[in-house]
Amino acid sequence: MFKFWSNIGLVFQILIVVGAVILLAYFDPFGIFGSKKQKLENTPVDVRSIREIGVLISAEYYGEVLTSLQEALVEEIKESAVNDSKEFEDLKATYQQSISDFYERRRSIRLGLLRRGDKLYDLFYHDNPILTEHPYYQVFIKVLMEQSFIDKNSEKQFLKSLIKMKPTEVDQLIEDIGNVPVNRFLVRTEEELKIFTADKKQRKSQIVVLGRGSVKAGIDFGQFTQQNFKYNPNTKTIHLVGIKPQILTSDINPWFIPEKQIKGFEIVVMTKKASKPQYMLKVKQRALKKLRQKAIQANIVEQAKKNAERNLQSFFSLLMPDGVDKVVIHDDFLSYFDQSFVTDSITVDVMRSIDSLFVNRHKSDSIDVVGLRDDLKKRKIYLRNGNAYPINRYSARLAMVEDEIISEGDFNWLASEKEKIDESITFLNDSTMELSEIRYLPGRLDSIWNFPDKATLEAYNEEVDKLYFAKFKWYEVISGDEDYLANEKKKNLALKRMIFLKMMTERLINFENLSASLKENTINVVKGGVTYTLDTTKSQTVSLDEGGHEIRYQPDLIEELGDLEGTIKELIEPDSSIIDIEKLNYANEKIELHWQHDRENVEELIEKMKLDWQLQLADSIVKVGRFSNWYALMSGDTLKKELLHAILEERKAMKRAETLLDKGLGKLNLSNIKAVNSNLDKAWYYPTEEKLDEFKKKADERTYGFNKEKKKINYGEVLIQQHILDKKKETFRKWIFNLIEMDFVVEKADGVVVSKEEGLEFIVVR
Amino acid sequence: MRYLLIIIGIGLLIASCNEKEDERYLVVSKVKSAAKLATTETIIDKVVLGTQEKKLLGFIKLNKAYFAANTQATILSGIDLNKLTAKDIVIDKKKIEISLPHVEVLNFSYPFSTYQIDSSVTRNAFLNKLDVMDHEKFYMLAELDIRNNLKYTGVKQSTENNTRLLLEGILKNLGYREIYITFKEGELITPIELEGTIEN
Repeated sequence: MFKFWSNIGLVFQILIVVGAVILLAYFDPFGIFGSKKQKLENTPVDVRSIREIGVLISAEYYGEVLTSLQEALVEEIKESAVNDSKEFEDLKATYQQSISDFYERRRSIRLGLLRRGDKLYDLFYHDNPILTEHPYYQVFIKVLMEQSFIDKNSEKQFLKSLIKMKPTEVDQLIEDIGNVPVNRFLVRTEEELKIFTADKKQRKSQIVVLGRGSVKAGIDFGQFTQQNFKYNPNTKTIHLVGIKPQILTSDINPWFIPEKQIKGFEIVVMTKKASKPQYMLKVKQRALKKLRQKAIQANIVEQAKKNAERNLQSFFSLLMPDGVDKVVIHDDFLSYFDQSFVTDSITVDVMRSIDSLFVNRHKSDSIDVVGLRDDLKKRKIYLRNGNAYPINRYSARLAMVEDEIISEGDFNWLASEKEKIDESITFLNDSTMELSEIRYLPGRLDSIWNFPDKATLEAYNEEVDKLYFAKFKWYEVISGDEDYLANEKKKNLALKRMIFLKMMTERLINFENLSASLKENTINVVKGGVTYTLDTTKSQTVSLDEGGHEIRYQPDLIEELGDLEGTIKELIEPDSSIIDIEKLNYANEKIELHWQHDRENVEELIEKMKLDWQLQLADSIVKVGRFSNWYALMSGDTLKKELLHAILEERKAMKRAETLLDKGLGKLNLSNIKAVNSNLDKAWYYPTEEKLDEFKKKADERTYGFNKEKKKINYGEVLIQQHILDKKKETFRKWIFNLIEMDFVVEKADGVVVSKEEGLEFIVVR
Repeated sequence: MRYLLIIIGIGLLIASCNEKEDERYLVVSKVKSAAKLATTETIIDKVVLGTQEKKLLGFIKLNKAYFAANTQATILSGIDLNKLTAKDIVIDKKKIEISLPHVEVLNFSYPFSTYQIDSSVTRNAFLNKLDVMDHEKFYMLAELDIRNNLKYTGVKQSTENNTRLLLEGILKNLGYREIYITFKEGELITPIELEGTIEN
């Protein structure tokens, strides 16, 4: 026992050494008692995807940032405060609106409820679930109470007193609430920050990291199309339009420069408590954000734009033998148009892009759009032939003038456009019509190009004021007299109507200018699949009057149809007007085909046919008429079955035409009316000028309801078609009577010949 | 007691000798001009699977800790237009021959936001705990592994194809009808031989 006590010192020393070894092995500050060796196992490098891109990196920023866990956490709280500010702003606006609405509906609240604050409170919460269930609502109300906007007792008391307030007091209250600064509501964030910075535990958890990485900026050509690339050979300038230089990548990798073993994240300090992946992640995120901010502060984006312009200029100069003097990058089309006007001309293509840009941008950026429009209106558009035109709503349509062709599509567009404008103007001029009934209100493009300027608007306002308010006394205005209020609504509608009318009238003027330009410049017209070529030596005009709009001019039928005048000459024997049945059929074919496009020429031919032409039959000569071609279906004294069939078909057609005209007369629907008679009938029986005047007079005298002008035109068309049908029926009847007087037999079916009487009976009965 | 002091003294001496020379790297923060045309984006998945062995006094093997994480790298590759000179281009009316610079990695991104530690595999051992610094070392090793294996992924071929397509499109729009594009020889990415351990 004594021996043990005598060696106690030694035992104690051994225990200290063992303890020190264990402690050192555990903490291992010098790495001598235990070494750690990391080994990466072989795992594959899997290619998830390889995709094609088009990116030009034109500026690189390499930098270093120092950041800590404390800083990252403080920033996190501050960022949430920014979000909170937005939330409170929204909340404030919603609350103002809810209070206003609640006050407005006070008359509909039962008297019993008005006296009880708790019931009002329930009602307010019931009416505004989104507001009152907002997580910050109670904090918001608490602050309003502190600011004395709300009765300090409770929100219930406040609502009770709100209902009793005068309207002016409520307006003032709502305004005052709106003026409360948002930072009053951010109590939570401030408190959180205070707690955080005072927390000792937090201060002991520390990570300090030096982050090294890169930020790269340039241009992403991902959405780039031919539309974005504009080259002006005159100025040797390339415009890259609608692309924004941007930050493309920002990285802090594990390695900054692996070749030199320079790390991306250099951990300067890391306390044991902070050694957690989630903390490290926050520090890294903060470091990357700081690096990105530093790059932005160093103007990386602006630099990227300049570098890209310079580098692309060098690149394209290498590729283009003529060289490129300049490359300009435009953020958007608006800036391109704005800048390129100085040096580049405005083309139809550019106008087309401008129109679509205007429509897209007008809602969000009307000031810029209007500015550019005013600038454009002072300029002219030059076509390839060197002609200059003022710029307006239809400038993009000058492509029709430029290519000197009016296609089928162009025709349809011209006709429908004219119809729209005419219908709108007629409607807007008729003050008895409700605006809501109009089918074609002016569109966005009309507003952009033709909206009245300030002076015009003021003049309109004055005019409608005089019309609607002059009769009211001042006290009727102040007291909100019912008549006065009703008139205010009428006034607004009248003003709207005037503005619309102004826009549509300007549109009509622009349209007529476009039509005039087309008349001057078009060489080819395509209609009904046929191409017509201009021949200025001819005096005839093609009247293309769909939708009441006459466009053009002197055509010469070419290609498949050949020359009409030549055809006429071919049809007539040199010294005689005697023709055979084949030529008559040929002439009828041509007439039917040409009627829509060359009415004057065809009318001349018909006149000739009626007056001079004679048809050579087997043993006789007859005058030429609408049904003369039926003689071909007679063989001697035998009527072929085809003739019977033709007669029956003609009768059916006439009956159908009668029905359609009856319908058309009722509805005055142009599509019904126009389908009544064939072109051949129209050509043979089109009314004379005098008749047309007579019809016009009749149409003018008739009374119409809605859409008067259009219906008047359609009624005129009914009269024309009725006239054609009547004339045709008359000729048909005569032909049948002639037939009756003749001696013949009828070939009814295969080889079966019946007597004249039986044949006629067959025709009449069927 | 005297022995104890001697032991501690020797320990401190070894520790002081073990301290590495403080190396500082100067990173000049500045925006540099570049003209790098990236035509290909490659996304690579990499499972980081590592072990950490702990040895007592450098030779007594204690145990192993395991680490696993799923990570992703994004590589932009293309050509450096600054390396293209007039000598590399021959134009004859509508015919053009271009010898483009070799394709290379223009941006290597191994973002920490993609790291996802697999807690089912990752585990510490007695006296062998994986801390955040150890995680960082594994990510560094993984980055080197990705960089060194890139040449086997077909990125070079794809980048050459995409660059050729892009350039052909541009040249056709510029009016060329006969286009011949070749690439110069060069490394996609510099291979890295890392000797020794990664120091903290």
